[in-house]
Amino acid sequence: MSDITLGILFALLAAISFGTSPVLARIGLRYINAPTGLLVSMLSSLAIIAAIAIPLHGRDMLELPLHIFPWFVLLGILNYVLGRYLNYVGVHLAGVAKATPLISTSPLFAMILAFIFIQEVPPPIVFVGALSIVGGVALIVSERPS
Amino acid sequence: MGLLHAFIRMGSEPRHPILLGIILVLLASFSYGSTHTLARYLVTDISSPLVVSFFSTLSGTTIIALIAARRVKKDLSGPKRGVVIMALAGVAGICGSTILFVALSHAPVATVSPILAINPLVSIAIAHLFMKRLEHVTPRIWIGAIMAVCGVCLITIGST
Repeated sequence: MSDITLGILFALLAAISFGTSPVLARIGLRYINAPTGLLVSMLSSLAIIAAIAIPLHGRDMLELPLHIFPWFVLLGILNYVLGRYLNYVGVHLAGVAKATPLISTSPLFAMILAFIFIQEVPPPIVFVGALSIVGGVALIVSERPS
Repeated sequence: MGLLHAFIRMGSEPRHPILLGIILVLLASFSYGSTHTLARYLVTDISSPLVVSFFSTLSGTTIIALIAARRVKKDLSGPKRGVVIMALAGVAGICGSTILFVALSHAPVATVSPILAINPLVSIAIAHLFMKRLEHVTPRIWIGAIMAVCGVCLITIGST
């Protein structure tokens, strides 16, 4: 099997994993309070990443300069304390069908932030993509609850 | 403290749950979007993706533990079903991230990212197949989701 084919297969597996997580959160948060549910999900994530990262990169971890750690904390806050928490609670409230397509809009926000802060002007195809996202989101959001 | 209290209680019986849910998910998306530049800097200039992922997960877990501390004992004394399902949600999330790193080591971002962008369609398909009582997936939602996924693919292709 070629390298690209393997990459495509792994990307598909990653998409299935990412797609399953909010569905499980939607079911799980019916039985457990959101912050505790998030803590449980974080602990299971941490156990797995620790089991992989420590044996492979344990020595590198000890050699990291201290001034880098605030960036890890900021990434943890943005990714998990805000990102995953708001994502799970949002999915719990709005439902998987409405919420999950909205969470995939993050490249649009990344593009807007890159334009504002580093004046990165994207090519025209990116604007077409942005329009498609906005149109799709508008369709989903305007769906009336049955 | 008031803001923290509101943050913790966000999921419990709001007046307009769907609207609040949509706003929260868009805020989450904004938060994820703002991590792209920082994450790219850390994994290219500082350390390997696994190390960055480990330390950011560790710091996120510590902060969430501090926020949830007051209610954890009471919540965990209840039925274990919620705990098991949320643990599986965490496993699925981190497996996604780890497999993504493996995918990126075999194929370029321009190939991997558009495939990854289909994950909302996977969620909707699972919800449609297995959660018919909880989720009502209409053709309008399918069309909207496909448009959003196509948009993400175009942005990814245009940016790489």
